Amino acid sequence: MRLPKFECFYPKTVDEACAFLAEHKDQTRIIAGGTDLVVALKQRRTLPQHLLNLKSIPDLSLISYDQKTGLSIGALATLDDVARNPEIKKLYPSLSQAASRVAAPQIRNKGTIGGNVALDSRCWYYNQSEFWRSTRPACFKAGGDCCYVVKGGKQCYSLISADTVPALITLDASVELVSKAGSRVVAVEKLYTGIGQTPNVIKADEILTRVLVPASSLKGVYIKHAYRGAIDFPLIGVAVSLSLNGGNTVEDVRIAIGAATPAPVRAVKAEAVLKGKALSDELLAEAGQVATKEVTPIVHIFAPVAYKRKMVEVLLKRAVGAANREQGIGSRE
Amino acid sequence: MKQLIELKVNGEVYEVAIESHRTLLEVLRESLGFVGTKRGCDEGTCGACTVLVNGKPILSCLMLATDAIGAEIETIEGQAITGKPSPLQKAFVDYGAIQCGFCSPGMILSAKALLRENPKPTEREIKEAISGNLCRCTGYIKIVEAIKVAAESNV
Ligand SMILES: Cc1cc2nc3c(=O)[nH]c(=O)nc-3n(C[C@H](O)[C@H](O)[C@H](O)COP(=O)(O)OP(=O)(O)OC[C@H]3O[C@@H](n4cnc5c(N)ncnc54)[C@H](O)[C@@H]3O)c2cc1C
Ligand code: SF4
Ligand code: FES
Ligand code: FES
Repeated sequence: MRLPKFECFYPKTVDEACAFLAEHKDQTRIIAGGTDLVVALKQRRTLPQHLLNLKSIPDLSLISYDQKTGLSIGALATLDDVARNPEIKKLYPSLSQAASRVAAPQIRNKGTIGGNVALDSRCWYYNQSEFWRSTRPACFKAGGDCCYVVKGGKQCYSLISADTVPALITLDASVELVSKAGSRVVAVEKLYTGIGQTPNVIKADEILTRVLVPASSLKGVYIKHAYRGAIDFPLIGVAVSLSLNGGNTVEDVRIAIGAATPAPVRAVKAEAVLKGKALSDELLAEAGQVATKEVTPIVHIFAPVAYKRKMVEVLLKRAVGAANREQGIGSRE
Repeated sequence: MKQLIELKVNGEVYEVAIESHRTLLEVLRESLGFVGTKRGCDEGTCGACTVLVNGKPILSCLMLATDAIGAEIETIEGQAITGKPSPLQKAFVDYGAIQCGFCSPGMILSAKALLRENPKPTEREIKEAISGNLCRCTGYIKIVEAIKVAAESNV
């Protein structure tokens, strides 16, 4: 499949990139690693006149950690850089695990953390070639007025399927967005709209420059459920961050469930079930049942809603159990 | 608009005039004749187009050719040592790790990157390193075996 024609601009600085976007934002798409955008272009899901290529901006891939300010990851750091970074491995294991589970080695060597967080929402009917899509009327995401996944639906229900997102939410991470007008910091938890046509709040003239993770983040785990061990996007991704009070009483916990729904879900009710209580199989079972009621999974071509619901429960139990073991002081086996 | 760029492939610098919307895969195969790099799915899911860029395996079907300016690109054509198959290539042949051969260039380059970084990989590490390369013929067992043998004989 050939790429459509476009011109590619390589800015030298973030300022230069912002100035370009301010002028051409309606005809421009940002490209970082390109592992998602190149496919979108080949499938004619987007036809920009210009690509703004961030690769030429030096220092945008730096990863640094400070005991006071926490972790800063440049948007262009590759998923492989993030997965292997010794500080991230030690202090933010769920993020390292999530990055290491994306796709396959070749894609992690090129795909970036910024591109992962800014990843477009996905759908089996839409993420297809132009020819495949042309066999039926356009759906909401393609500018039409119907949805093939949720029949009778009034919006697009495509899914935010990026692996690092649930981990970042449980780590209380945020992103720095820079435009010609200035910069703002948005919590990853608040980044996604749940509306497939406009899946995130990043504006067309904004560049995601850094992912910021507080030093105080709780440690945790990420569990990816997919059909194959590599290449596949998650069917469901569950991240849990946990701190225990002395023995195995839950002091604090954050739970995020990704890929099942148009926007990732923070399972606050399941968190409330766990907080202040001693971990036990019964408590985990209760939390799993509460969590599954907090998500309304969207059907997947190979996975009915009931299966996804059940798996949210199962994965939550597994993830909390694993997060407990990660603490190294859990009394359960 | 065409621009003249330089690409360094298997240690040699080539000048090509290309448009911005050319992938590295297209330029390698069509402009430079490195047809050992295979076009399979052309959208990132099969690994047949794997080449090494600055030593790391990447998918050339998803890389803009202009992103490879200034990088060291390695393809399967650069693997032979003074005209003879490299120990890794030889192990693939000797151990039946090649049937139709379509996945082999990508497989060998993924394995090559692994062995350079980790000369004595475990079976799990081998499987992880080739997890982005699909093979429809061999069932992978022979491929994993060939990589193990090449590692033991010190490539
Ligand atoms: C076969 C295959 C399997 C995959 N499997 C997975 C998987 O299992 N899990 C997963 O999470 N992902 C998966 N991906 C998707 C993708 O490879 C990753 O999400 C990757 O992290 C995207 O990063 P990138 O730098 O390549 O993004 P790009 O393709 O460059 O960009 C992706 C999107 O983000 C925008 N963008 C990128 N950087 C910025 C920035 N700094 N500021 C503002 N906007 C920006 C782009 O405009 C574009 O819309 C897969 C892709 C393929 C082809
Ligand atoms: S969820 Fe519906 S509207 Fe959205 S891309 Fe899929 S079919 Fe189209
Ligand atoms: S041709 Fe590039 S991954 Fe299949
Ligand atoms: S040998 Fe035929 S695809 Fe691997």
